Parts: sequence; C-alpha cells; structure tokens
Amino acid sequence: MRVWDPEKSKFAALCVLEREPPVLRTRILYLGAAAGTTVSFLADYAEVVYAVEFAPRPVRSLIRLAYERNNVIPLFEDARYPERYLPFVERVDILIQDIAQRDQVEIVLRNLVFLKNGGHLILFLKLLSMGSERKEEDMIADAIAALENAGVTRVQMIDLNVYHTGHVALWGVYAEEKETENSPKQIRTAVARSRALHD
Amino acid sequence: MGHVPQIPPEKWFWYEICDSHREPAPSFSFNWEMIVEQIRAHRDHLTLCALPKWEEAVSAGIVLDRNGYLSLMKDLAIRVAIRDLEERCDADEIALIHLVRILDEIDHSISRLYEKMDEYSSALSSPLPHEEPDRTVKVRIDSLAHDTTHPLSHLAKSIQRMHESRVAIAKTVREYAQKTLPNMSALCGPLVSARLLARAGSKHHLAYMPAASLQVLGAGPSLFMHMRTGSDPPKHGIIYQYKGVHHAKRRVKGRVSRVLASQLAIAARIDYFRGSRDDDFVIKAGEKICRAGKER
Repeated sequence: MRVWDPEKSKFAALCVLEREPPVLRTRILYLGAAAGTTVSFLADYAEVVYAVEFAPRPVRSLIRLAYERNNVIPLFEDARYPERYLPFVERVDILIQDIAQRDQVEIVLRNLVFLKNGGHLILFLKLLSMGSERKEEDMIADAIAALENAGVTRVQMIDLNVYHTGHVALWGVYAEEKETENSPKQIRTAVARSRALHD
Repeated sequence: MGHVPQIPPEKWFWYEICDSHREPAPSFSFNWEMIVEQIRAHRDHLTLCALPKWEEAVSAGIVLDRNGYLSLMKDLAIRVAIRDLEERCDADEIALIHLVRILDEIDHSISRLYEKMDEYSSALSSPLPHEEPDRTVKVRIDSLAHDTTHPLSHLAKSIQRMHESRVAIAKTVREYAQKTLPNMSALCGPLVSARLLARAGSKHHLAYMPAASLQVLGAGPSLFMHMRTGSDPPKHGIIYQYKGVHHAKRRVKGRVSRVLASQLAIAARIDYFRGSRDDDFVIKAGEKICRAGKER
C-alpha cells in the first residue's frame, strides 16, 4: 500500500484541493516526469503514460520504473522540441506538464499537438521559475490568456500554495484547433510541423 | 557519434523500422541493436512519421493487438533512452561532480563534529586560563584519539579516518578536474573549477553560461536579495575561493572577480568544445587576471 502524498506530488495536491481529473484508462502524456513518482501513481489508473524527462539522473529511475510497469513509456527528450518525440507518442486524452522553467508556458503550447479534441490540459506553474521581477497575478493572467488563445477552454486556476509553495495549477479542456489569426505563432508552427511529418 | 546508418528517403513509422529488422520465422526476434541505431538516426533527422496509430501497426501485421503495440513501444523507448544516456553522459564528468559534492560534505561534517567536540571539552575544562597555546584542529583531534580513556577518543579516530578519505578524494577530484576541465583548472585551480562545474550541473551548462553568471555562481541568496531589494550585487560566488580573489585588496576584489569570470567563461568553452589545454590562452588569461589585481 502506498500513500499518494499531496505534499510530495502536485497532482495529488490537485486531487485534494479541487477534484480528481478523469484519468481512468486514459492515455497520458506527462512532461517533466522526473524520477517518475507521480507517473507511477498515474500508471495505476491510466492505460498508458508517456513520460518525458530530460535530466540524465532522474531518467535512470524512470527507466527502472518502466521495466517494472508495462504501461510507462520513458522518453529521454527535451520537452521544448516535441518534434523529436512526435513519432513515438499517440494522441492523448490528458496532457500534464510539471516543468519548472522560465518558458514553461511556451513549452506546453508546443505540446498541445498531442492533445485530443476535448482532452484535458493540466499545467503546473512554478511562479518563481518564471522570473522574480514580475507580479505573480500578471504571470498567471498571461499564462491563462496564452492558453485560451491556443484553443484551451474553461481554464481554471487552482492555487496549490497549501502543499507546494509558489505553485498554481491551470486546468483546461482543449477544444477545436483554431487557426485564428491571433493564435500564437508557435502553435501554428508546431501543428504544421506535425502535419508535415505525418505526410 | 557511432556508426550512422543510411537513411532511406521516404518517411517511416517507428514500427515499420522495427519490423524491417526482424528475424524470419520461427523466431521473429528483433535485431535491437540495428533498430535502435536506425530509429535514433531517423529521429535526429526528423524523418519519422508523427503521431503513430496503433491500429495501423496491427493491420500491417507487425503487432497482434494494442497490448503488443504498447509493449513493443516500451521495449524500444527503454533501449533508445539507455543508448541516449550512454552517449550524452560523460562518466568522468558525472564522477567529478559527485566527488566534489562528497568532498564538500565531508569537510562540512568534520567541522561540525569538531565544533561539538570542542564545546564538550570547553564545557568541562577548568575555567582558569590555559597554559597551553592555541593548537590546530588536527593536533587536538590527534591527541584526543590517542587518549583512549577519553569518551570521545573513538569519535576522534573516526574523524582522523574521515580526514584520510578527504585527502584521497581531494586527490582524485584534482586529477579528474585537470583531465576534464584543463583550461579552467589552469586558471583558478582544479578544486574551484570542480565546484563551479558541480554548481552549474554539467560542462554544457558551464560552457553556455555568461561570464556574469559564472562570477556569482554560488552567491544565489545575495543575488536574489539584490534583485528583490536593490541591495549591492554580490561580487563573487564560488570563485571567491580562488586565492587571487580572496587575497586581493578590497578595492580591486570586484575587478579581479569580473576579469577572472570572463576568462573562466572562455576557458569553460574551450574545455567543452575542444577538451584540450590551450597554453597560449592560459598564459594570456593569467596575465589579464594578474593585471586586474594590481592597484592602479
């Protein structure tokens, strides 16, 4: 019996503070899997978890986890360049990102190509990593605006401060890919790239 | 980079490449070595088809069902990840990073233990002024270790042994640093270079770091304090440990750190991209650092 501790896992904190995302028998793409702690719990429910991590040391633990589970697929890639792992990942029902980088919002935008229509996007934002000069509310508002611009609807903000200082979760549902003029450039390029690769 | 196989002009799905390197009946086993190399080459050239569909792999007769697809995908992903790990990680570099962290931890532990032992003896010793002059840490530990009746004598012996390990590890760290960071070691010494590497995380990060970041590497708290409240920025981080910086006159400390950091940034790039010592550069950079330390 293992305890899924909300103190340790942001996903568990989200389940406690908000509600449980519908993960049962789904396909999940997890960006920033680290050593795979959260992934191992998700794999108990999901059909398959594609786990992307770029730091060499945690990848070792992730590979060890993949040996033990038959539904964890480790990808040792930089989430900034989804074109490198596009050939290995199917369209997924849930996209989860937990990457503490300055450009974490842009990374998730690039990875939206993987998400099915109506799929859930869960983005864990570490505000401190996005620069300490700007106001937190501004950064959250910008992130939500960028997501909505890219076709993510019903974005809701869940403050995880109780368990994880300086973190918020953004949870939205991906709607129709909109090729509107004001959709961010990186989305269009990512989509175009994936289509070009698919031909 | 090992042998890169020829890339066919058309695009492939990953499972088609797996299928093309399969033993004939009855074994049907995969030639993994070939598959992994080809898949990696295709991936690097972006010549794999994106977003595969498992139904197509089934209808092509490569896998039996969804479970077969996922287990083949997992087998491949693990092998590719392991191969990438082998290629991307320099064993010497990783060993160096971890050894220097262990070294600093040993120093920390020794000094903390010694502090507690010192408190013990000063709490029990007579309050009258000592006739003995100040003795160094090492001498006091040695004498404690010899005094077998003293309750801390066993601990003192352990500390002696820890000190021996420290000497051995420091020697290894110096050797490794001179091997993997020859130019940086020549400028600021192998131990300081190794600490910079450990803080940056990898030679790659170190090479791409601006000199200004190198200068304040390890001075995080005061840097953030500066950014938040506008207090004076830190002049130096880990590079303070280099004797040229901490022995410099107060007035020129900032200048020495700045010049040293800018030369170290160049050295880090030579170490990462070329990997061998450049004597001309080392001499010139050394002169610049020396000149920065002189009062004008």
